[in-house]
Amino acid sequence: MNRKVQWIFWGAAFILLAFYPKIFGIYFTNVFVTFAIFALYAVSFNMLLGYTGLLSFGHAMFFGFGGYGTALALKHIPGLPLLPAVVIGLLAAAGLALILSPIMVRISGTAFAMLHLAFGQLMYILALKLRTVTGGEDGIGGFPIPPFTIPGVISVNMKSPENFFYFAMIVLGVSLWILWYFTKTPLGSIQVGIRDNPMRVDYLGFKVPQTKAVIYIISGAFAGVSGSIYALFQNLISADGAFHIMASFAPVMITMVGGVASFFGPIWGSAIFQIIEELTSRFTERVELVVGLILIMVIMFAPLGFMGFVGFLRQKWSIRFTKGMKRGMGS
Amino acid sequence: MSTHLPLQQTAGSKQVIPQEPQFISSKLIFVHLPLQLIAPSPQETSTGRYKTWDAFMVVVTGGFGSLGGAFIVSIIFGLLSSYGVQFLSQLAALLMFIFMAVVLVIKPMGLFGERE
Repeated sequence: MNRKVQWIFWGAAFILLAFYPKIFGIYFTNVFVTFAIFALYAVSFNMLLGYTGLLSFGHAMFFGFGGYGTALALKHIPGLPLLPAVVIGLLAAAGLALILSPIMVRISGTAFAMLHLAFGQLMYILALKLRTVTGGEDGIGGFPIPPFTIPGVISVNMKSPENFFYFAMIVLGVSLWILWYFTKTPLGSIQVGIRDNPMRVDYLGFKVPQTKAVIYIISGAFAGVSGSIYALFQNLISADGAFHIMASFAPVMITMVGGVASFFGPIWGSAIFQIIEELTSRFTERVELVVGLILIMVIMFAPLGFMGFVGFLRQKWSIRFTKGMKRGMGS
Repeated sequence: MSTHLPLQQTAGSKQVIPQEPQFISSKLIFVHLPLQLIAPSPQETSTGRYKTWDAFMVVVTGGFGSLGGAFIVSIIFGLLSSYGVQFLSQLAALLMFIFMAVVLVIKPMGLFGERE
């Protein structure tokens, strides 16, 4: 029965998503694409923080590498199709993660966070200074966006926001599904084991550093996918948008507000942030004021975020419900 | 194959997942981040943000709980940034981060930090 309800829920969500641009118009379509990009970015970050217990202050470097990889490939390779461009973004971020992983698997805790801060700032300053490659502060903009083609079948123009919405939804949805499936595999279970007790996982005969490296590369690669979609969506990628320290903090805050310990938490967090930004910016420019206050409230009263709060309410409700049942049966 | 069965029972089950990673609640960084975000004027926010980061980087590089480490590392950072502007003006902002990265790769607990 529970499974049936789940199928109905996902079916309804899918149908709503399919008709979303028709119902809500162009503006909210673009808002939704931004939400989905940051949802994937935060979920890939949560693979490190929530599942493996590694806090990173420089996740933006994978985001930026994905974006710059796609933008540079589209700018310099004429006639490159769309999907290979996204794959180049993924490979660029995964390559960076592969290069960094021998250092990163040996440390954890504060050193992990601060080393990521250092490498993130390194990438930021390199992106600013290597003007011939990255365009400096202007970034890379106005690169051609090719149509989505399956040879001999269809060719869809990506210039229209509606078509791009469907393309982004498919890429981001498939990426989210892959990450969700990954947490259900035995490797995904070892991930949780490493967070809770790395020593014990080691005694059981699993290779902790290699497992950490695999998780690190997967997390980086999917942050790269979100960055590459972001670059295609804006048709612009710049050092301030992709590598800046606030781009590294966005997933930290989204994950904290949404819920650290659950897979769907960051998705809810991204939605909450998008809604707050949308509502606040109608009244005042100081979006950070509201965001900061909400962050304080969440850390003080709901340390597990939105998902933890929902779970708490559900638990309380079910206790009351069973009590009521017992009383009803007694009388 | 049989080796991962006990782990799955302890770690893979649903009861384990809703746990908070321990270091989140304990680190003060999450207290001052929102404080920076609500600081009132635009010039103040950026200066405050970067100064706080400098201080945090000094403490981490010197080692938690080590006063002498923080003192020595702050002098090293100051010298690096001022001589960096003199000789390597393009990459002066990077020198501090490179120094911190080198220290943390060799000694993850910081220069004068104690092993946990």
